[in-house]
Amino acid sequence: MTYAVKRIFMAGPTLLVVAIIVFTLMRLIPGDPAQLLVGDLDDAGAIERVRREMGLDRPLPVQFGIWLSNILQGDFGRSAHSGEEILPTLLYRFAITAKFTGIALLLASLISVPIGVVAAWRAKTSFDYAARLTAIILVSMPTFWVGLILILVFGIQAHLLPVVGYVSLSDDLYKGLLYMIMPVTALVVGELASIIRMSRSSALEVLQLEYVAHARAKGLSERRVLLRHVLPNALAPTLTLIGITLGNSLGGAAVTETVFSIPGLGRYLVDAIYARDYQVVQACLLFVSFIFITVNLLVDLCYPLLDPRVKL
Amino acid sequence: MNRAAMQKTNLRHQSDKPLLQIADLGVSFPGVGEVVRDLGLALYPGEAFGIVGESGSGKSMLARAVMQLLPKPGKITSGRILFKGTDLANLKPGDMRRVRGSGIGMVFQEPMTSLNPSMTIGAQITEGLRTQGECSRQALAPRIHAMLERVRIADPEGCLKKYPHEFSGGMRQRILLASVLLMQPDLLIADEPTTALDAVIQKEVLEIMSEVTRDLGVALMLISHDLGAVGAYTERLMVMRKGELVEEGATSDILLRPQHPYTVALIEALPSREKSWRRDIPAASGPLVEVENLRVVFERKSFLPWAKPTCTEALKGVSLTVGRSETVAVVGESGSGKTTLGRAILRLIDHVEGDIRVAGEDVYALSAERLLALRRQMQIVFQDPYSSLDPRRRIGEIVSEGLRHVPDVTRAEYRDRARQALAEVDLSAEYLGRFPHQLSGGQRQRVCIARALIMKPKLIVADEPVSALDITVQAKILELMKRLQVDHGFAYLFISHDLGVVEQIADRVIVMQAGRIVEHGARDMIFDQPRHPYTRLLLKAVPDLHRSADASYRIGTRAYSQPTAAPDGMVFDWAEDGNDSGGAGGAARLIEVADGHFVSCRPGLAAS
Repeated sequence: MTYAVKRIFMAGPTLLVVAIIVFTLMRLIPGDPAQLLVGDLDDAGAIERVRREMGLDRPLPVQFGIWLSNILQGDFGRSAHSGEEILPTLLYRFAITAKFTGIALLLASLISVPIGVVAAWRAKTSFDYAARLTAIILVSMPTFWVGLILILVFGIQAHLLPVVGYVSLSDDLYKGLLYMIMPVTALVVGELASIIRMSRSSALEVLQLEYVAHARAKGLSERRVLLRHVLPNALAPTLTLIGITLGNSLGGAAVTETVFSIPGLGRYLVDAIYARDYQVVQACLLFVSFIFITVNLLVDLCYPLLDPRVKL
Repeated sequence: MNRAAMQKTNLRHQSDKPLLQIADLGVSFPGVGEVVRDLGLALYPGEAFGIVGESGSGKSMLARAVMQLLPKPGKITSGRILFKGTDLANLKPGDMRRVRGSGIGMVFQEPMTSLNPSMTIGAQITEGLRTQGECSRQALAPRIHAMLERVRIADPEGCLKKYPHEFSGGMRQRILLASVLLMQPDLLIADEPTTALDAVIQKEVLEIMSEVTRDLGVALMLISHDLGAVGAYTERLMVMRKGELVEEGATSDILLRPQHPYTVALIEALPSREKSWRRDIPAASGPLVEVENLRVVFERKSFLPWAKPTCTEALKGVSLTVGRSETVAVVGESGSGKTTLGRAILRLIDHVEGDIRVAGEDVYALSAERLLALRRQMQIVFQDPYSSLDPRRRIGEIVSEGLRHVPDVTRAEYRDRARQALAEVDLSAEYLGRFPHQLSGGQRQRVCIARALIMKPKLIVADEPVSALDITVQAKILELMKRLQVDHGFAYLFISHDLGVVEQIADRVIVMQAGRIVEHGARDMIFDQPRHPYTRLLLKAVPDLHRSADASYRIGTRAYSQPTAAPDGMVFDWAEDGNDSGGAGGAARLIEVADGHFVSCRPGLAAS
């Protein structure tokens, strides 16, 4: 059985376990959704009716089975609050989050991997110390704080950038980009540090291996040694980190989205929690887990491109 | 040796200009000090030059200084390195790059890390050649093909498309050699090129290296800790110690008539049969260890519960005995199952088939409690003294830890017992409070032995106990192990790949190959009259250095003029070309060919 098939097979049970946990958690929350829906009318009959409509009177395993089979058919249910279907909203919100976090992570990787590799190559020089110091400073600044400072400096005082809000790129490209600058910067700052440190330490390890000495002994230029021999081999562990970061930020950019009022997935989830919109919370959590697992799966499947010793 | 004929041409050197001339070279590391001091040497075109030294002698740093590949923050502090008249010590990086590869090629030690795992062999070979300006694939292909054939790679075309991990260690070193020689350097520096390889493979790689460099007229600088290897493949030799030159001269002179006391000590430290110990083994009450038909299969479970697990048969029915106070050596290459055998006897492996009895008790049928009691009588000493001691604990705790399970020993006695045990391995009591990282490799191995000794064992399984140590340290540890056995009368199961060491210490020798015993018998019998072709192959692969009656040394390899003959009606179950003749298809079994000397054979066609 090949590695790829194995990994794909394993994703299924993992998702099932996640679904069970999400479902159970939602049932453990005190309070009755039916009561919430009916409101303050102290009408036992109405509550009973809503319970029956929502299927809340059935045993839990049955409820779970119905929920799961609906989801497998692409039916995430309707929001208890607005009554609209969850899935289209979910996907729309996700597209917004994906745009921000994708661009941010891409930028962060493009900046920090070269910095990390060069810092390792020039280990214990001023460049290396500067890179490490910057990483420590960046990692100590929470994303929301960076966001607020950015808003304060560039939005409120310098009036260079729009403060909060979101404009779709397809509606107005220039304005859309303008609105993206600050949130993306905040996200990039948060991600730089860990990627710099990871790529530096793995490049440091690779630099000590004999094939690097061999490459130099062949008369190759330092540029080529770094690009062909150090970088590809140092990238594998960094790629795993990037994958985890991507999975995390796709589902969990809620803070940044709140600071900048971006209608992304994180905001959707947070709003649903405040509104006690159980259906939406449930669907969001499951969707986020699904994204996380899928991203990590894709990263694992990319591994053999970097390291032929890993067989698919 | 094949190089011996070349020594006549040594005279030529007087008129030739040296290819590489090093004068007053100093290399130092800030905080560490000078690792190479005032070193000078001259290497002539086409000659094979050896550098021998123990760890810390600075031999690798010398080679790296020549290539300007010193690890940071090492620096050349003084002296000149003249290569074809250019001083490499002060060369700009850009100019140095032109010397690397095209002028001086280098082969490194670790076959596992000396090729880039993420590039194909072909890409790695051609990228070096491209720096020389040759770019067209068509022009390069025949040259690459020819060179790979020269280093005896069976399928050169296929090889180019493969990745390094698809080759064995020996093949990788040969590929590396080919890729370096393709750049047509004038000098090849080989830094311990075969140290990580099995003896048979080591010989093969060194022979190919020696042959190809001679044919191409490339000078060879062979760096090694192994006197035998360097002696057999070089014309001139230099001995280094702590960064300094100790002795230099023609290889034969240095090996046969060493002048410097350190060189003498180095040669004297080589294991030999003359240093073995004779002692009376009490012919008492039955064997200590009996192993019958031991089979060990390692299973790798598939992730699907119903699929069959992948099985690797590490031991295929091994039987042996170890007598009380006897030293039985198990010899074999990596993958022969020798380590598994040692661990199975101590029940450090879970599932085995067959019987193992130690002191009459079935090791695998014992209750947990009885097993603990029995384990106290069987101790193990591991190969790597760096990972076999807990770095967070003091030597005293490490040595006395086993006493916790011995009844009637109070905590107050721990320190005394530990002190006694350390004294037996010649370490003073002040080591009790130290940590492992404060000790040298040899001292750590003494601690490992003390840790075994404190339990008053009847059997010590020593798994390659000296193979990670320098040759002079190795000699001292072997001496110590011998003395302890005489004093305490325990038995050794000595697992080793090093036939030299085995020849010195063993009473009986068991030769293993691919999970089975191919030959076993008394030490002299195995070394003087080996019967099995595999045993002969192993013996042929190790250089044999002996002291002659006139106190000079003699280096040679074992040669067998007669092909070995199987007992009547039998055929050997192994042949050097890798083909098992198969016999009449019967199972292989051990046949007694002389008193206590067994050889593995199959029934031959004639017998059936």
